[in-house]
Amino acid sequence: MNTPEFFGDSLRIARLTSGISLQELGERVGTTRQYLSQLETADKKPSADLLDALSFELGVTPGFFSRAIGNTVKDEECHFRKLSSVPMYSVRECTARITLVHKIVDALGQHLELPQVNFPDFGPIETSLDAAIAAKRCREYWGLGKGPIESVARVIEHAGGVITSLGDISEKVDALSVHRERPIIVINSKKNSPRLRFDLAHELGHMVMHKGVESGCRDTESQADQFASYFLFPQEALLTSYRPSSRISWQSIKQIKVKWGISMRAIVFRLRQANLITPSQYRTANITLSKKGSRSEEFDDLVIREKPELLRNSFELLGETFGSSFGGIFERLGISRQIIGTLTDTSDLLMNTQWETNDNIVAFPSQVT
Amino acid sequence: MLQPFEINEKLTNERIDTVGQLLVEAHNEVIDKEEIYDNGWSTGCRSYAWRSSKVSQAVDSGEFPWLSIIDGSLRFIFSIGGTPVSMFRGNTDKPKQNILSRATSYPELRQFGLFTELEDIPNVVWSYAMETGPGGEVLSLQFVGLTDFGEVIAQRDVPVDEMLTPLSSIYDEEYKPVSLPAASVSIRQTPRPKTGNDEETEENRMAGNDDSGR
Repeated sequence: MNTPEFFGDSLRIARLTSGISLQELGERVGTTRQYLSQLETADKKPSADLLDALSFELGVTPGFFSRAIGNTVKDEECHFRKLSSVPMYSVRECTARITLVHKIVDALGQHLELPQVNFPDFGPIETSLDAAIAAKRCREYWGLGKGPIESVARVIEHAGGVITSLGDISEKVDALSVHRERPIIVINSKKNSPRLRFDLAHELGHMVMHKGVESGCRDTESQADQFASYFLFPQEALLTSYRPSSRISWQSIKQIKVKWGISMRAIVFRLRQANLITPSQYRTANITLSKKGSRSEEFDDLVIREKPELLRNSFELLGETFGSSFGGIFERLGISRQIIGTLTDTSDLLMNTQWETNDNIVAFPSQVT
Repeated sequence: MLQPFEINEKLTNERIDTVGQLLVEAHNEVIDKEEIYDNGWSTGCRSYAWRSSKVSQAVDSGEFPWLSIIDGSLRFIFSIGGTPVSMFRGNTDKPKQNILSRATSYPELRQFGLFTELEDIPNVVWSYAMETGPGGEVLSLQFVGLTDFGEVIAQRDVPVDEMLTPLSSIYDEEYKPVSLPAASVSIRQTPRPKTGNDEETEENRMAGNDDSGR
């Protein structure tokens, strides 16, 4: 009898996605870390019992291991916001999860018409000024006008980008993006509203300026920050919204924050860049913002909170059309709905009993996350 | 600390906050329009004049029948529900003496059992006290009942943090918000075949997987 193929890469991706070390997984399935390492990297096959145990622990079907994982996401493909301060195991966990998100999105695309990918390329970028110009051109490219953008997430999703927070991992790695055929942005949804908007615009900056460029260095990060700042708050608007005077106008700064959804600190930085406040006012402003009990977070709740919708709406449509089977996407991927829910921020939706129709539900091993 | 409405039922929190909003708006507008030659004194004077005018304007609008002007001169005293109210910039620890001199007798205080050690119940004046920061921004706005010897006997903190004056109209006209609907997703009429992404390449299989530590 032919035994099914076994792909070590698939095991590695499933394990890293679950955030379990070789040692821990070995203890759970009753084998050694060395043997698991060999399964992942060498041409070895586990016994049927071990295969079942692995599938049980990792929340995937045994069939998941018999399919090639495909084109795994590499560290260098990702634009990590704070790569230098992220532990390597978090980076690997993150890239493993993004690999699966790519597979999920690809599977969704087999049933759904997703927005066509349409991101301009303004690279290569050399200076901060280039980044500011790219932000302006980006607004023009998508016909966004000059006003405050209500939802940066929608702009990105309209252009075919996918946004998720990958569960709790984003808290460790901050924000990042991966530029494949369909770009994916990972956000830390715990952040406050202005910061979340800035992160999305920052990652958008990487997408339109740094295609094929390894980012993470000071220059590329500063360019992406510059892009984000000018994309969210164009220079013309800055110049007409603030009147220079002998004192810093906190009232104007607060109004700008609420209207344009950008943090006070970012506004103060732009005011200095545009020479609308003096170096001494800039210093005073930063001291005020840094003071304990400063009101820099004031009005955060008045800034519209960014809410990615593409993945949620996709699953919702599959649920409405196919009931709780969601068109068989879980079986096709061989990944439990719990894990897919975590990776796509749709756990509540996928586990909701409203989909429990009388269609076939294939049971999954109990969940490990 | 007593709430103003506990001593005088006409001084409701809603009325106090409504007038407070007018005062903060007027002050913020002055701060927004500060010129390079302004200083603390000139801004303070303008703020006082603008706040007075704002209240007068509100009275003229007829929108608040419980609001009226008692003295429209620079002393500026208005009334909330018939009770005289003043305003000053500063904190309640150091109330302006000229405000205290306006205190009038308040027999209602007897029922609270305050000042039992005194032979006569002190006079009371009601006032807004606006505290500002180094940038001229409003830090707090309190509505207080002060005795004629400067003691605060009732207080309402007006929630200034929730107040933000609207941007000027020219600004709004020029920069309309960009609002997009959610990106559209629909069911494919014919399911798309799997992409090559599902196929493993030799290169991927050979990629280094050195993460044995985790």
